[in-house]
Amino acid sequence: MNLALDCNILYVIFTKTNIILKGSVIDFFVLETVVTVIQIISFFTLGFWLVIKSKDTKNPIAVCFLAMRIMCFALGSLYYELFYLLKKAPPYVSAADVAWIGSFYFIIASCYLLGIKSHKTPFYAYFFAGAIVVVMLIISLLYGHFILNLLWAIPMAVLAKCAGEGVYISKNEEYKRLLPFFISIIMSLFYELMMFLSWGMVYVIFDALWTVGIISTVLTLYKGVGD
Amino acid sequence: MYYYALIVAFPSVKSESRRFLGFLISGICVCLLSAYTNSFFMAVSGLSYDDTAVFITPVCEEILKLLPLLFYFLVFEPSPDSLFSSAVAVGVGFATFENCCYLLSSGAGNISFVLIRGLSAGVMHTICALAAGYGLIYISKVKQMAAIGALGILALTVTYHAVFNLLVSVEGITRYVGFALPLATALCWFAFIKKIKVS
Repeated sequence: MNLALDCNILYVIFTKTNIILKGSVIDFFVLETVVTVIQIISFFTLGFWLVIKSKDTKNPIAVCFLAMRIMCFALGSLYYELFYLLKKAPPYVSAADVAWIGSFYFIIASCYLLGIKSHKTPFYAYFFAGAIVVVMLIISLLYGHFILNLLWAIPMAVLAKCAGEGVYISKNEEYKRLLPFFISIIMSLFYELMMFLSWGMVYVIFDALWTVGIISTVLTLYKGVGD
Repeated sequence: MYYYALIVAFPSVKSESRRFLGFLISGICVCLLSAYTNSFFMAVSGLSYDDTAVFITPVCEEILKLLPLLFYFLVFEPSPDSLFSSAVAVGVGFATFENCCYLLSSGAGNISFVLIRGLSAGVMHTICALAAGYGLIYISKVKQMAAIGALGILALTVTYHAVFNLLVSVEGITRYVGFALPLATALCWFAFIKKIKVS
């Protein structure tokens, strides 16, 4: 999410939003760092907790994959923050992007392990995936590295499709307890998309909401597959 | 010389030892190959030595280290124990050869620094290979997820390697934090594994 903002219109909109929210540039950086540090600590703690607790669940491998997802993401954020602090500039394309994009593959694997593949794909699953592709294409045309945006878009679209399929199978009594998990995936994807489109204080707010979304993903999965 | 001695020893050992030795040699080959690929990408991208170590080296080295393990995992479908020991062998082979080269190229002028760096980098490579091995063991339970899982594992190891390289590339206390990171991770790792086994 470290995409350079070249579009003047977006810049003006979000600078004005900053003024409305009475936030300064310094506030933004401090707040962003605070949110990221909370994110890293909570994700690592939750990840280890999830691995320990996975044995008590009906699908331990799916739970472990989700733990790996959040720990992989936290590692990427750690790299990004360290780079920012040590080199005094954010990395443009780096190992942080590798970790952030790679973390999607774990949650996709987790969704498939929960049994979504055994059912048909509803039309809204394709709609979710399509919406993400369209938004990411628009973002790519406006700013940032096209290939990097494409690398983000592919797993995000696949995950959106998985979440749509998950919502569909949640109609069955067997999967009913997993409905909050799939809804929280859709919500966190929405916040992530909004983070691509936002800047300044708005970005920080969506980052915090996204963190809450991911934590709820962990808790809802644990509750969904728990005894 | 060390490399030739291992190749000569290869036919004289059997079964498990031969497999371990084979992966040790492949770890050394991968180290040699990654030195070439790193140099190539450094020349192509025009990045400095430090920037290459932070941006390119982790990606090249971890991809190349994963390849022999992935080949063994997909073609031979080994048991978890065999896969784990093979991962250890690749990591140890890679780290040993890299440290030998580093000691030879840096000379004995600052031997204590070279030894500390060598020890920490050695542990880091072994940890990354161990993580890859553990990840592949998990994937072996769900074969249809092999490709997706391998990508995820690669992302994890690349980022850990990059964090280490980033910390070590900066002068001062950060460098020593970087040196301590692999040992601290190893201690946490073993404590965590013990905790899981107990629970």
